[in-house]
Amino acid sequence: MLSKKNLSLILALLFFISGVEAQTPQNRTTSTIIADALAQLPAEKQNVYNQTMESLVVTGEDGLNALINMMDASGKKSNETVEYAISGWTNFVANKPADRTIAVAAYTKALQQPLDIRIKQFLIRQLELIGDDTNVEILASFLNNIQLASPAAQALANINSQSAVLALIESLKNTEDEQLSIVLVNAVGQTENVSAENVLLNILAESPSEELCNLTCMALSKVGTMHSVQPLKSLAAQSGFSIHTNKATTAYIDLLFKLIPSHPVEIRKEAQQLQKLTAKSNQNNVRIASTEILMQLPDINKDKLLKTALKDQNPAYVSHVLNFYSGYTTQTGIDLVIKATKKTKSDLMRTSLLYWLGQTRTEKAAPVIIQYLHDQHADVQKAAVRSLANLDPELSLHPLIGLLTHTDAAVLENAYQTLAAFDSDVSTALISNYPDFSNEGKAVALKLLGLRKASSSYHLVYTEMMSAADTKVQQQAAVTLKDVISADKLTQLFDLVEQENSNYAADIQTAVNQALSFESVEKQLEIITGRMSKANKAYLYYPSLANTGSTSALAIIMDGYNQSGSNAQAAFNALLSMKTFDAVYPLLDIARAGKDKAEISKAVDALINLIVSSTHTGIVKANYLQEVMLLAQTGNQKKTILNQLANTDSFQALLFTERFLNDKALREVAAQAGMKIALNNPQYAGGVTTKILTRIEQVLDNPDAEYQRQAIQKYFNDNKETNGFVSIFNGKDLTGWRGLVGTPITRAAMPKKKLEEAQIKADQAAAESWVVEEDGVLLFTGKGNNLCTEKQYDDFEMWVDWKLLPGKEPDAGIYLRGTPQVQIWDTARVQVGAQVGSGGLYNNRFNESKPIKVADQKVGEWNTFYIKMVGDRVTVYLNGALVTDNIILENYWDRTQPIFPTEQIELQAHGSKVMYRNIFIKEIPRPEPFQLSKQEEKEGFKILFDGGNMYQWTGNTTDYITEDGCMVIYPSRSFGGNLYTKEEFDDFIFRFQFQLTPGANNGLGIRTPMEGDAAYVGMELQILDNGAPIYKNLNDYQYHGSVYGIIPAKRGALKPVGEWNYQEVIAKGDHIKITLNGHVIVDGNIRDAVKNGTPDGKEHPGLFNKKGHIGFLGHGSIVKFKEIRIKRL
Amino acid sequence: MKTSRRTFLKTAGSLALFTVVPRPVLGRGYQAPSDQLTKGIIGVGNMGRNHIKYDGTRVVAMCDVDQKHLRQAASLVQDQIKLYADFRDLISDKNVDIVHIATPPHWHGIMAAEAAQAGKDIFCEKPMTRTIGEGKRVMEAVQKNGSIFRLNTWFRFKDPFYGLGTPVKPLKKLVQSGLLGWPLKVTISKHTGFDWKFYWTGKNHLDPQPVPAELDYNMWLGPAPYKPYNAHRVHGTFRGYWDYDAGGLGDMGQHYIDPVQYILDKDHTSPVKVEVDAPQQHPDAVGTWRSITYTYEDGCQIVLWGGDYGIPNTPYIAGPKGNVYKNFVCDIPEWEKKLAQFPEPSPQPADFLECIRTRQKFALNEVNGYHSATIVNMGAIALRLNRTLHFDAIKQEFINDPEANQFVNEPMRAPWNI
Repeated sequence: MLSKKNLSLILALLFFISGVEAQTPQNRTTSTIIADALAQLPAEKQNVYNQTMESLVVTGEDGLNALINMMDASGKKSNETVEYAISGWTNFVANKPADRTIAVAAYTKALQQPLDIRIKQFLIRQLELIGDDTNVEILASFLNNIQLASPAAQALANINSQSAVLALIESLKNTEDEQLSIVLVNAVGQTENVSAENVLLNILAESPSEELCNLTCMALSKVGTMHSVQPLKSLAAQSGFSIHTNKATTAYIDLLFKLIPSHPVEIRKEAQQLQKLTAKSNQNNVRIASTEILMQLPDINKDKLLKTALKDQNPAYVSHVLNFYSGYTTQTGIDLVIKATKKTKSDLMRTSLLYWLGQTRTEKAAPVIIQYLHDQHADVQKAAVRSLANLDPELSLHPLIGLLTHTDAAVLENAYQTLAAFDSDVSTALISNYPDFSNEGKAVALKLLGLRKASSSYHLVYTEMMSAADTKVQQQAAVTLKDVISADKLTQLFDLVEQENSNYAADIQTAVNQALSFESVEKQLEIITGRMSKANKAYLYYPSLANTGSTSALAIIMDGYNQSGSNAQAAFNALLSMKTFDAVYPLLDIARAGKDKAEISKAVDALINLIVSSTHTGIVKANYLQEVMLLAQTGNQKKTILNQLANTDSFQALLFTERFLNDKALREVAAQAGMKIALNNPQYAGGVTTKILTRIEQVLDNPDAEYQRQAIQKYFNDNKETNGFVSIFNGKDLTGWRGLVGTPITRAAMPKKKLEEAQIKADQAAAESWVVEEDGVLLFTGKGNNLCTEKQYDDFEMWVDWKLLPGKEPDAGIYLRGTPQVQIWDTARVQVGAQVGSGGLYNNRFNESKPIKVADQKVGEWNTFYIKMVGDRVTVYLNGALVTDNIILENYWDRTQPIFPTEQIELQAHGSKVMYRNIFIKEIPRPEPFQLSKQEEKEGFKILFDGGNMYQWTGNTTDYITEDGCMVIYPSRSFGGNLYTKEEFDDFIFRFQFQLTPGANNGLGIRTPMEGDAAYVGMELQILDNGAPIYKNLNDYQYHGSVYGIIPAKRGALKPVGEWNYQEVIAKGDHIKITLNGHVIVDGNIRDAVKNGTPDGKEHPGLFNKKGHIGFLGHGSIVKFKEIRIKRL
Repeated sequence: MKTSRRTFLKTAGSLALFTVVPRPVLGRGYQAPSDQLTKGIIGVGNMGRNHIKYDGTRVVAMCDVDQKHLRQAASLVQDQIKLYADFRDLISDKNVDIVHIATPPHWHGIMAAEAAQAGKDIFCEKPMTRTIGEGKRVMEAVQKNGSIFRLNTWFRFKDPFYGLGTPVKPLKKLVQSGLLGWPLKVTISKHTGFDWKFYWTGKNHLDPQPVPAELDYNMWLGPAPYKPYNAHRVHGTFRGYWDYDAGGLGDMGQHYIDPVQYILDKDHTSPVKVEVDAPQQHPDAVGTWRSITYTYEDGCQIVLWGGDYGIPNTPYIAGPKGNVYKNFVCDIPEWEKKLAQFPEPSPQPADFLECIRTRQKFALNEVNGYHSATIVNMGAIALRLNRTLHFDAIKQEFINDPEANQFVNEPMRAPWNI
C-alpha cells in the first residue's frame, strides 16, 4: 500500500523526470515566468524553445507588455534577450489564432504608448508578421510619420485586407508629401489590390515627379484593370516604348500580361499593335514580350505567329519565339522550322532552329540535322551534333561516328562529348569504323574506348600504340591501354617492359599495375619475382614491386638501391612511388644524407604524400611532417607541410607553427595552421596556446582575417577558466630542473642541511648527464641519474616527446610523483618483454602494468606521450593511441602506502641515450578531499574514500574510477564487477553517500569474501532505483536497502534520481540497521528473519559470517559514491 | 519637394558618369576590344572585383554605393569606363551587354529583374535571391524578356567540388546509372568536405554609428528595413544579418546545394519538407545551426550538418544499394567496371558567351538557379521560425502556413519593388 509520503515522493519524481512542463505555471507569477524564460533564451534546442515559449505565452498580454517595457530605448544597451523572447513569441503564436489575437492586441496597445522609435519599428515588424484587420487603425496612424510610415505601410501591405488597403489609399489621397506618397504608392502596389487603381491614376494625371511617376506605373501594372491600359500606353508611347527612359513601357507590358485571362480580345489588339510598333524600332525585348503575350492568348493561331516570326532575321527574337511556341508545337510548326532551317542565310538563326528541332525529338528532322553535321560554322555544327544526339540512337550513332573523319579540334570535341554521353554501346561501331577515321579522330575513338573500358578493343589499342603511323594516335593508345587491359595480357606487357625501348614506358607500367591489381598482393609478388629471376635487368620490375605496397617488395627495392648504376637509380624512383608507410624510413635516410638537392626535393614530395595518406594518427603524422620540414627544399613544400599540419589536430604541430610566424613567406600559412589546430581543440586552450594565438592575431592577413580574430577572441572567452599547458623545459638550459636525490621517502627523512648538500651534488651530476641540444632538444647522454622537476605536482596533464637513440638496450621512462614509471623501451627487446610497447605502468604489481596496444614508432624516431594523472590514476596516450586507461599507479617505494599526493616529475636515466622535447604541463585543480567531522573523528571513524585515491579498495578498479571527488562505476567499460575494501570488518557503522541513475542497480556487500556472489556468500544490502518502471514487479526483499532475500526495507526514503542519498549501515552481530536520508528503512535481526527458512527460498551460506570485506557490487549501471567512512564496533 | 534619384545623386557625390582617363601605355597581351561583349558590374567590393577578371568580356561600366570601392575597383582596369552611383544608370547604359550583379543578396532580385526588363543578359552572384518570391519574379522577368541568365556558381559543370575531392560529373554519372539505387540521401558537412563558414554570424547588438561620408547607406539598404548604421552591417560582414543574407548558409548554400540538385535530377522541383536542429535565431543576427534536413516527395534527402556536427565517415551520397564517400570512395564492388558501361552525363552548355551568342540557356540558369536558391531560402525560413515546414513544390509556397509564407514575399521598403 502506498503511504501519503510515498505518493508525494512519486509525484516529485515524476516532476523531476518531465522537467519544465511539470512546474505548474499557476504557481508562478508573470515576472518569475518571464525571468525563468529569459534565462533559457536563446534556447539551444527546439523542444526547449517550444516549452519556453509555451510557458511565456501563458502570461498573455501582461507578460508581453512586461517584455516590451524591458526594452532599452537608448539603443545603447543590448536588448537581445528580450528580442529573442518577443520575436520567439510572435513566431510561436503565428499559426495559433487565439494566442495570436492576444499578441496582436498587446502589440497594438504598446504601439499607442510613447515608445522610442526603434522599439516601435521593432513592434511594427511583429505586426507585419502576424498582424490582422484589427491593427489597421493603429498602423494607419503612423502613415503620416516619415520614420514609421515605411514599416507601417509594409505591414499594411502584408496584412492586405480590404480595410488595410483602404487605409493606405486614404492616406495616399490626403498626403501632399512626396516622400510619403512614394512609400504609400509602393505599398499599395505590393497589395495587388484593384481598389487602388483610381487614386494611382489620379496621381499619374497630375504629372508627378519622375520617381513617383515610375512607382505609380509599376503599382498600376500590379493593381490595374483595363482602365489603366490607355494611360500607361500613352506614357509609354511618349518615350517611344523605350524601357530606358521610364517605367511606363515595362508597366504597360506587365499589365497586358496580367489582363490576358480576363480581356483576351483587347489585349490581343494591344499586343499586335505593340509588336508592329517595335518591329521597326530597336526594342527587341519589348517585341519579344509582345509576342509572348500573343502566344499566351487562347484563341490565336500559334503556327501563324511562328510563321511570321520565322520571317524575321533577328536570331535572338526568333529563338525566344521558338521557346514560347514549344508548349504548342504542331507538325505544321515543325515543318515550318525545317523549311526555315534550310532556307535561312543566317548561321545564328540556323543554330537556334537546329537546337529547337533537337528538343522536339522528331525523327522527321533527322535528315536536315544530318545535313548540317559537317557545317563550316562552328555554332551550326555544334547545334547539329547536340540535336542529333537527342534522336533515336539507330538514326544518330553512325552519323555521329562519321564526325571522327574530321580533323578540326572543335568538331572532334563535340563528337567526343556527345558520344561519351551516348546512351548505348559505341565501342563496336568505333572499332569497326576505325580505319576510316582521321588521325585526330582515331585519338578520340581511343579515348572513348578507354572511357567505356572496352576490353574487346585491347588488340586494336596495343597495335596502335606499337605501330600507328601518327605519334598522337600512338600516345593516346598508350594512355588507353590501362583501361582495356585484363590480367591475361600481363605476359605480353612484361615482354614490352623488358624490351625497354618503348616511348611509352610510363603508360605501359600503368597498364601493368592495372593488370596486376586484379590479383592479390601475394600473387602479384609471385608473378613479379618470378619474372625478375629470369630477367637480366631486375630494375625494370621495381616500379611493379613498388605498386604492390608490400613490405617485402620494399626490401627488394632497397637491395637495389644499395647497388649501383641503373639498379640504384630505378630503385630510388620506385621508392618515390612506394605506397607502404615503411618507405618513409629509407626516404628520410636518403633525404637526410643527400647532397643532391633535386633528389632531396623528390624524396620530400614522396614523404609528404606517404605521411599524409597514411592511416597514422594526427600526432604521428605531425611528428614526421616536422622532420620533413627540416628537409624541405622549396617554399611550396614548406607551405604544403604547414597546410597538412593544420589537419593533424596535434598539440606539437601547434607549437611547431609558432616558429614560422616571423617568416614573411610562411607566416600566413603557419598562422592558419596554428589557428585551425587551436580552435578545433579547446583542450589545448590557455597557457602557451594563448601566447601563440595572440601572435597569430597580429600576423593574420587575408580577407577573412577580421572574422578569424573574432573567432580567436571567442575561443579565449569560451576557455578563460583553464590554466592551459605551460612549458617546463625552456629548450635552452636546465632551469626548473635538478638532479635526483634518494627517493621521496628517503628525502622526507633527510635533515634539511644534508638534503641541500646532496641536492647540490646531484645537480652538478645532472648538468653533465643531461645536455640541451639545438632545436630545444634535451639529451640524456646515457650515463648518470634521473632529471627531476623542481616543482612538485599533484594532479596534471602532460605532453612530452621522446626519442630512443639506437644503441644497447634502449630504455627510459617518466616518473610521476617521484614514482616509477610510465615505461619507454625498445620494442625489439623481447627478452625483457618490451614487445608489449611503451606507455605501461611498468612497476604496477596489482593493477595493470602493460599497455593496451603497441603504439611505438621505430627507435630513432620521435614519439609523443600525453599523460594525465588525477588522484592515484594515470592515463597515457602514446602517439595518439590510448595505452593506459585510468589505471592506479602503485607506490613503488612503499607498497603499503598509496601513491604520494604530490611530488616531482622525473625523466628516467636508464643507461641508454634518449632525447626529450616539448615538455608541457597543465595543472588540474584538485577537489578538496573529504574530511571527517570533529564528532566522527572523536568517535573513531576512519575514511575509506576521500575523493582522491582508491588505495583502501581492491578488485575491479577498472570499472570503479575516481571522478570529480566521487567514486563512479562505469559498467560500459566491462560489465559489472565488484570493488572490495582491502581490510575485513566484523561489526561496524558504515556511512556513505550515493547517487543513482535511472534504473540503477548496485549493492553493498558486507562480511563477504572477495569471491562468489556476495548476496549468498556474504550479505548484500540492495542499492536500487526503486522508482524505475522495470522494477515494479520485484519482491519486497529486493528493493533498496533490503538485506537481499532476507529482510525487506521500507520504501519511500530514496531521493529522486540524480540527487545524493546519505546512508548509514550499522551491523552489530545479527542485528542490521539501515538509515537512509534520516529514515530508518531496515531494523531487524537476520537470525529471526530466517527462522522459517529464507524468505527468498535460497541458500545463504554466508549470512552468519563473523567478518568479511565490504564491497560495492556492480550490476551494469552507473552509480556514484562519495564520503565513505567506517567505525569498527 | 521633388526628389528624383538624379537630384539625390548630386547630394550623394559628384561621381556619376565620371570617366577614368585611360593609361597611356597598354599592357602586354592587349586585344582590340571592338568585337568583344561588354559588361557592367554592379557592386565592386571584394566579390565584384573578381568579376573584372572573368574572361572574354570587356568592362565598360561599374557601379557602387561606396565611392571608395568604386575608386579602388576603377584603378584595376586600364580601359576607359563609366562609373555610376545608381545601378539603374548602369543598366540603361547602351554600351553594356551583360550586367554583372555582385551586390549583397538583398539587391539581387531587384537588379536582375530590372536588367532583364532592360533587355540585358545577366551574370548574377549567388545566392540568386534572398527570398523565394523574388526568385520567382526574376525567373519570370528573364523569360519574358528573353535574357540569358547565368548564376555564378559553377560546380555542376566545373571541377573541383570544394573539399569533396571529386568533380560533380562522375557523381552524376554514378547516380544516373542507378547503381546506388533510389531514393538517395546526400550529406553536406565538414565530414564530406564542406565548411558552412560559421564565422558569418551577426552580432545581437549593434551600437548606432555615424555613416561614413563615402557610403550612400540608404541606397545600400535599398529594399531592406531601415536600421541604424553600424560598420558590421555592411561590407564584408553583412552576411551575418537576415535582412541581407543568411550567414554561411546564404554564402555557401547555393554553391553546395545546386550541384546536389543536379545530381538528384531535381532542377525543376523543390523539397516538400525542411526540418532544422538549431538554437533559436535572433530576429536580426544570423546564428549557427546543427542540422537542416530537406526531404523530397520521392524520399530523396539533402542533409546539411553545421560546424563539427554529425557523424564522421558519413557517405556523401547514401543509397539503398551503395554509398559514395569523400574522394569518390565507393563501396559497390567493382564499381569502376560496372560504371564504365553507362553513358557520361549529357554535355552542359557551360560557355556563357556562346550561350549569349546562340541564345541558348546557360547550364546554370534562372530556372535551376531559382530552385536551388529556394532550397537555401527554405532552410533560412525554417531556421528563423525554428520549426519544421512543409512546402508545396507545385505552388512553390508553404502549406497552410501563413507565417512561413510571409517570408516567401517580404514587402520591400519604398521606393523598391519588383
